[in-house]
Amino acid sequence: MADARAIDPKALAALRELSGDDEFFAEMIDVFIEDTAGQLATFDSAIARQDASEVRRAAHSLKSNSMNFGASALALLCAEMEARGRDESIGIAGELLGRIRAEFEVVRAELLAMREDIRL
Amino acid sequence: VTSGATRPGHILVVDDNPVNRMLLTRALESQGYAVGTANDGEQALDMLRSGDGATVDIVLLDILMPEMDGYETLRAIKQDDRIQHIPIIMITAVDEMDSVIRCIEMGATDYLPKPFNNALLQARISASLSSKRLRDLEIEYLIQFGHVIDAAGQVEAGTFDLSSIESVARRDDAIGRLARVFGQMAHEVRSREERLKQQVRELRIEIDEARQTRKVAEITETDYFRQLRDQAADLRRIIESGE
Repeated sequence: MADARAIDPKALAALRELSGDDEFFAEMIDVFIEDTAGQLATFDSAIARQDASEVRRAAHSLKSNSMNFGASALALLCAEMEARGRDESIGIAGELLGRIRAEFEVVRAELLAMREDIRL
Repeated sequence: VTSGATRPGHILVVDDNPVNRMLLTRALESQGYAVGTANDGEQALDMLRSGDGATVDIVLLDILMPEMDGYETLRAIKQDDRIQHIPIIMITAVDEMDSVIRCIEMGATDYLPKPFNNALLQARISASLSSKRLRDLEIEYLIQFGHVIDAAGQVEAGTFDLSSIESVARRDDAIGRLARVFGQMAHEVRSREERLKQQVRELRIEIDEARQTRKVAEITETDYFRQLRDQAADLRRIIESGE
């Protein structure tokens, strides 16, 4: 069951308003989920080759998206990863990446549930 | 320079993040703007330097991007004479104030914090668009004014052609009036010059005629000529009397 606190309803409502219509909003949810899968893969490869700037960029992008969708906890984790990328201290970033993945799963479940509601 | 008073603003959104691109595109299109998107700095520069770039009024530029980031893109735009006048609004996270300051020092016009706020987006785009339009107008004025200055040079060189300022003279603003008055005055000056030349030509003919008459008089009024004429008359009389 999704953690109800993963997404701030106010921020998500603001995003829904900004997107204009529900069909477009649902499309944005799909793009976010798909894009995040790509960013997580980028984390894997960038950490493996110790590419701090790439880690920083991917973390920044995911943080930005997380904030758009009101996923505050995920945004905070990404901010931490971004700081590690900036400080070039990604040696033990694997554990942090695990927490990001876990948090994203919660966020993803909530967003998919919401998308289903929209389509009903 | 495109006459921008009537066409909607054209915004180029440069962001590697697809959600941000979608959001900004949707928000800007709903406000009536034409929107183009680029995924990174290199693509943005290609678009700005191509034919389409001439119509871009504002660039919304993300800072952290793969390949060419926002700083490099901003620097490249500011170093290119053809596109350096386009206002750049940086897209930044709220915790990136240092980056914002650096970008503004590098020539960025403004910044837009993420997550986006529709009213703020509208206000910043509208303000930048107004200053861009004003600049476009200034450039257009300078070009049109240049035509009038060229025409002044033509008047000085005696090669003035009214058609060279016809397009400026058709404008219904101050430069148009200046061009019309200038054209009219240049035309009057030329007409007066033509009249003067004609008078000089006529005067010269009169002088030549007077000079010839005087030469004829100089010859015919001498004693020697009178003697010759008398002798000729005598000879004619002798021949006619058959003596």
